[in-house]
Amino acid sequence: MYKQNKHMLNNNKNPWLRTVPRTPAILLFIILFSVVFPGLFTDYSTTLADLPNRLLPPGTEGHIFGTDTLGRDLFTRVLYGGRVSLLVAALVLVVSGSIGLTVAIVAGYLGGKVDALLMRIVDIFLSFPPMLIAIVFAVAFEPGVLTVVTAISISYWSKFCRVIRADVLQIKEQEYIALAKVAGCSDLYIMVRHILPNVLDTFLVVMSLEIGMVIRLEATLSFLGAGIAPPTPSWGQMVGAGRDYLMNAWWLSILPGGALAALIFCFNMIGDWIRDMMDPHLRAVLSVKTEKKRWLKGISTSRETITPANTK
Amino acid sequence: MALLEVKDLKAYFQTTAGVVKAVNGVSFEVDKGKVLGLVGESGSGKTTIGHCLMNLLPKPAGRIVHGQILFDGVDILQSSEKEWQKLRGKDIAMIVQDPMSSLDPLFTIGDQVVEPIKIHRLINHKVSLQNRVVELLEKVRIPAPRDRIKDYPHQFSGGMRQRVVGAIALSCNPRLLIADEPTTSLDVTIQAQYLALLRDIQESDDLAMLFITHDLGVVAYLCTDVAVMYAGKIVEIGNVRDIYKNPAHPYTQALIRSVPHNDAKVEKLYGIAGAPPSLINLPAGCAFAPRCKQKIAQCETAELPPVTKISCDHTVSCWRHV
Amino acid sequence: MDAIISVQGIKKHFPVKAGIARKTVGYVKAVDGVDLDITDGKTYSLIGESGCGKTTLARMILLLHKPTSGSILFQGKNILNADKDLIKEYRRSVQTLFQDPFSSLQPKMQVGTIIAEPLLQNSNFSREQIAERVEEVLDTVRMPGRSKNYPHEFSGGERQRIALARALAPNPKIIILDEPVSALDVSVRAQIMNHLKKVQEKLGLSYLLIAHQLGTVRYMTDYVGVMYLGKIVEKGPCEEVFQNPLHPYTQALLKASLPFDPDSRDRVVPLPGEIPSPLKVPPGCAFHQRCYRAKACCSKQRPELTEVANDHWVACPYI
Repeated sequence: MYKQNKHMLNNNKNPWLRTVPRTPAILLFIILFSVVFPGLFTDYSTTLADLPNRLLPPGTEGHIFGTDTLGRDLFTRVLYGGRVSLLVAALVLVVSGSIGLTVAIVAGYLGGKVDALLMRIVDIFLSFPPMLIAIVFAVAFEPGVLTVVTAISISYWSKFCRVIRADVLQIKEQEYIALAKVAGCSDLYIMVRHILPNVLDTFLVVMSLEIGMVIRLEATLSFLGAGIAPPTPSWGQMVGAGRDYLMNAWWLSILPGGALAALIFCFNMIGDWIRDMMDPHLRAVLSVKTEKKRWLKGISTSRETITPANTK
Repeated sequence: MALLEVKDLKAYFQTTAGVVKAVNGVSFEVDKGKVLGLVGESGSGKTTIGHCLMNLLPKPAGRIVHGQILFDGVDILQSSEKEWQKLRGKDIAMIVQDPMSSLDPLFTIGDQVVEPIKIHRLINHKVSLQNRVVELLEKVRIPAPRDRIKDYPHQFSGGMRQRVVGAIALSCNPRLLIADEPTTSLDVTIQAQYLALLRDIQESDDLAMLFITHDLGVVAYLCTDVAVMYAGKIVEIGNVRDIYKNPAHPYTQALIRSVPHNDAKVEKLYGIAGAPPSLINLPAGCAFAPRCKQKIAQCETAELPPVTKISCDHTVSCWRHV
Repeated sequence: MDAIISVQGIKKHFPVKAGIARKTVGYVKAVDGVDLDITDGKTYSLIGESGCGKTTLARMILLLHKPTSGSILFQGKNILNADKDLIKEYRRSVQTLFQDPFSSLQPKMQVGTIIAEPLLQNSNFSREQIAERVEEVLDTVRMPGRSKNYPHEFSGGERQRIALARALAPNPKIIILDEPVSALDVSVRAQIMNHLKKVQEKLGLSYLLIAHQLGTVRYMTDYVGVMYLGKIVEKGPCEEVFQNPLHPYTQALLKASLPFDPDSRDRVVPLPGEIPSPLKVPPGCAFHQRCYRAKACCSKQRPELTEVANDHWVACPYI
């Protein structure tokens, strides 16, 4: 029986789309959508206090997630708080990604003394624990998005740099680089137009695997009070603020914490999928698993490889 | 009964784009003392056959879906992994193209040559082991073998490394040797040395060899029989002289006409227009028909041409010879 | 005929550094004194095995490596310390085709841009003129209208043709072909070689062909040079050298190449010994350790190329 209609993903044009892990993808889509357009889901304010309605449990009329110590609707705060977490994560990735990419390409391509010098600097930055640097930084300066982004980026750029440089070293040996030199292209041109586009794949993979860590780091900082300051909501901060109320108002910490876990989980799963798709061998593993599932559900037609009787 | 008989072997790969029918119904025989050359271009399936014979298809994507491989009369495709491990390296050995990746840079060549012997427990005494290693290195004509046992792969040149790989393959006296393009990366004079060595060893040990290559010159030098592959099938198989002097299949003829000879000035070379078919959407019927200059009406049908005998050891799969 | 490119006494020695102080402990003598003239409309080939220096020589002519000594003259003018305009003209006139079609095309660049690159860098044409030229060369290599596609959509032979289109775009005088067909399938090789020949005839191009397969060289060449460890040991008209090889190395090379005839197996005579490393080039004649004709003085004096017959030169005093 051909159950094509039940599947959202277009099977014929992009066969690899079938391999996307569905639950994380859908969940991620839901989270991102609701966090980017919170106005569609809620009308409450995140900051206006409503003391008569404080500490209402989840499920109360008008407040699916309940309210916090100041009577603010928790659902609204979770949605807006998600914005902040994602904003910080995105900014960190942009900032540390750009610095890491630039240094990696320059060091990897130019080689020699430039490479040696830049890599020693990277080593220095890598040797500091990110958490420590972040805390020191965040405490020394005024709390806020800018501080948090800078604090995390300081360590993270070096992580990107290492991995991308390895890629650059390999790309440098490709013949199209020699051909570009023969054509008289300057080093700068080669770095921007030939090397940069070809490292973006690796960059994407590293980014998708690290974004979960970045979100967690920001949440930890906010939890410790060194990140985003109230009244701006942030999931980590909300988890921290609800610490004292765990016994009687568990929803203050657990719900934002759950949202955090869900987001990181989704990013990790999608990140794994991206990495699998980029590597030919893992891609094969992925497609075999997907085809097997589809055959067992009666959708796929490639019975020749999948029938269990042929499995050796 | 031949030492190795392959019957209707089919090996498929699962990819995101579909099922790749790399080997699509291949049958051949290799007997003791004979060298079968498996000739084809990229995508013909020849390397996959080599892997099938050792049951080393990349899992989980690759799978043997049909056929029999009879080694000494026993269908080894039915064997368990343990039985396969007993065969590999001992009865069936393999040498591949890139000597750099066949040798582990962290171990001495002495260690690597002795490894299969130790694994298959053929010799236990330490001194005999060392003597055996020296014997093997002498067999592959490595100069001053006793001094070189403690050397590492990077201390050898490409040709020498390929010989060490040969020594490892021969260490347990295999009965079948599968060689997958072993000379493609070697220089002309080194290749000549290596092939002369292979020929001498093959003749003295009465070894059965399956030689996978795309180089027609090598095949003419070394092989007793030739199987020509196209799009996962063998299109022609026969004695090497028959194939070179009277090629029957249009693909074989076109192949021979497209290669420049080393020993004479060729006036014109003829390439084969078009490209090999996609192994995912193989056309039904003769796979070479779209590119064939000698097509007849029968070739356009969706039926596979049957295998026809031209002489006692020359068969072809072509509608023109039916 | 005037030479377009004239290479004189060119040498390339790569220093080998070792130790903590990175002192130079030796030299890899990749190219050790080569003279070469490439004239209009002809194909000049260099054959040899690994370590002979043919690829390094090609890369020096392409200005990828700086020669340790010697000169390269382009239409009579020294290109090694030329001004920007001369270099731009040189880069337009001297193009190349490399061995591996799968790494010669930048995967993230459209074919049209890849082909246009030498023009963008070295000429003053407008965008429209360049676009027109791209279409023109794509037509010449028989792949019309594919300028918006990406490299991964093409097979090995097609990619090599795109690389050829790129080489033809600036209207060069000479194309350096560095093993143009070794990485291709056997049946595609003939296609590409025929294509190269046709293009050469039509446009009056010169080729410097570097190959290790003697058959390929023989099919395409007018004049051949045999290299061994950085020096040319024999050079002359192609058929002359192949039918009448004078240098022992050339003879060995020809005897070691495999004929297509299963009945001629015993004609193959392998040359004993290993190719020495360019780090430790034997003194005197570099080939004397493997030469059947070697005499005592061969290890003392390095032989010079001398003309023995009509434009047939050999570096061996004992013919």
